[in-house]
Amino acid sequence: MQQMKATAEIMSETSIKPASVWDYANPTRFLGLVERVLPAFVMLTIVCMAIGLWMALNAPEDYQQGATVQIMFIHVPAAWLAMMVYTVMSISALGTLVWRHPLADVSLRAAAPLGAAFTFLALVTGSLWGKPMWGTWWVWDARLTSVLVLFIIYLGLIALSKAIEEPSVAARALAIVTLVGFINIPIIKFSVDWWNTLHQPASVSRFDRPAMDVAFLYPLLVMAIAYTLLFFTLHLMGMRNEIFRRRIRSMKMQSARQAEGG
Amino acid sequence: MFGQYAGFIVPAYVISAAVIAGLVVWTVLVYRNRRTEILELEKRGVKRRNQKEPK
Amino acid sequence: MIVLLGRELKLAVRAGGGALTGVLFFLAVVTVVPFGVGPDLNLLARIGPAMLWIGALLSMLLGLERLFQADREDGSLQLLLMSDHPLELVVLVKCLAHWLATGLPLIVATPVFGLMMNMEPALIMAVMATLIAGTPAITLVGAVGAAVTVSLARGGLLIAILVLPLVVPVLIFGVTAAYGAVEDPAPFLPPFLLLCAMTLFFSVLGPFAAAAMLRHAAD
Repeated sequence: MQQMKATAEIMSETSIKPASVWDYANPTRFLGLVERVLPAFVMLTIVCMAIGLWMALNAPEDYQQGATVQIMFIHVPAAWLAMMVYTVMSISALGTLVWRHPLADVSLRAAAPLGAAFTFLALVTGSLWGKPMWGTWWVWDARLTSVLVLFIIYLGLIALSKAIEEPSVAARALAIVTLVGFINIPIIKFSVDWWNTLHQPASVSRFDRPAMDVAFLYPLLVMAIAYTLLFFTLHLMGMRNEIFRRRIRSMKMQSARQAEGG
Repeated sequence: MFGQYAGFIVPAYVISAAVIAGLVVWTVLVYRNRRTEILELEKRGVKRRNQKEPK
Repeated sequence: MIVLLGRELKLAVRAGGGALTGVLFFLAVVTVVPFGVGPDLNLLARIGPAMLWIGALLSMLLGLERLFQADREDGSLQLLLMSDHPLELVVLVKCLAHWLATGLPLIVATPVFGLMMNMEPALIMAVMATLIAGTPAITLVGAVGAAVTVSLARGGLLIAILVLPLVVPVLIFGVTAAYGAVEDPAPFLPPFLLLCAMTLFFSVLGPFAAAAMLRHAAD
């Protein structure tokens, strides 16, 4: 409670109903939205995660994979998020380059570390799933390689965001590199269809009927929703942090000016 | 419960939990630090360019 | 345009021999491989195409830093921005000049290095063909990385990180095509055509993205 009051002191109140993303182009307005919406997001994330974990840990054993199928419940959502976050970043990149939304760059920068973390989890849990399943920690098949490439792209973008000082140049650079790298996403998605190597093909989004039993499908979907909620919660918090960072920077520059000019 | 594969399943869940917890902790810590810094800067009378007087 | 191309070539060849440094680095990589891997000639011949490709790739990545920086430092980047020619075309010409000065010497040096790796002539020719088809793609997509880091002091390493993910398919298809040219069941034409396709694709994507970045970065 005290936290919310303290933050509200920093920002002015808002009370207008949202009509479009442009209503929140003003960082202050956006922060007001975050304050209102965040508690609900946190609650939903925790509840969903709890339900998902309970369902996952109580799922039956797969006749082929045994108990290791339980790794699927944290591997597949992480992998889905790794790609979804990059898509969010790509939309943000378009927001910077095409529509020039002031918060698009904030969104991109806040999402990058989260995406990198999910990709890392996808790689690690995938490796831990692969060893008992296929007998090897790593293999250079199409999907694993392209997910590793995605990880490198995330790290490169984070490095770039710290390297360029001038904010507008940095925003443009990040947006362009993000969009150029987007070509990797369809490669990841379709790599298991194009190259029939080791990783198993898609079994959830087949449009006829999912090739997965509901005993596994439901926990998987709940965990996927939980991971998605987790991302959006952390993303909103991250955007808030980024807005604060810019404010501190401009306040410090302002105070330096005041000290000089009086 | 996991039988022979526990050595793989448990680390997978533990690492996932650790990374997620790490993200949350990092985000919250950064938030608190920056909020404190902004409040201190405002207390010192530093204004942003077009900010109204704080109440 | 021809004038611009001529100017770029003269600069690239003159200024401290960026081309020569590239070839020397290529030589360094190829020389180091037998020390690490052991002098087994059969093994060297087997990994030869891959090592030549990797050496060429690394060498080109190192050279990308120079693509725009010299122009930015002496102010001619501003002039290029204000010229009548579309910036994308200017970037394309600069990439062509850069490749002629940096990539072509590598390809010319390939037979010598191929012999050092105990590769048979047919395989060396195949590697050269794939390098000719594929190294322009590296320059073109590298232009995006170079444009993005043009204002940074030591952007070279960052360029490599940014460009590497996009360049991996080029490497894969280049090596696959090279092996496919000499090994019987392995196909040559599909990976080679994909390599050419990538070069063509990047010859559009690279200049456009690089130009979009340069318009803002020349400060």
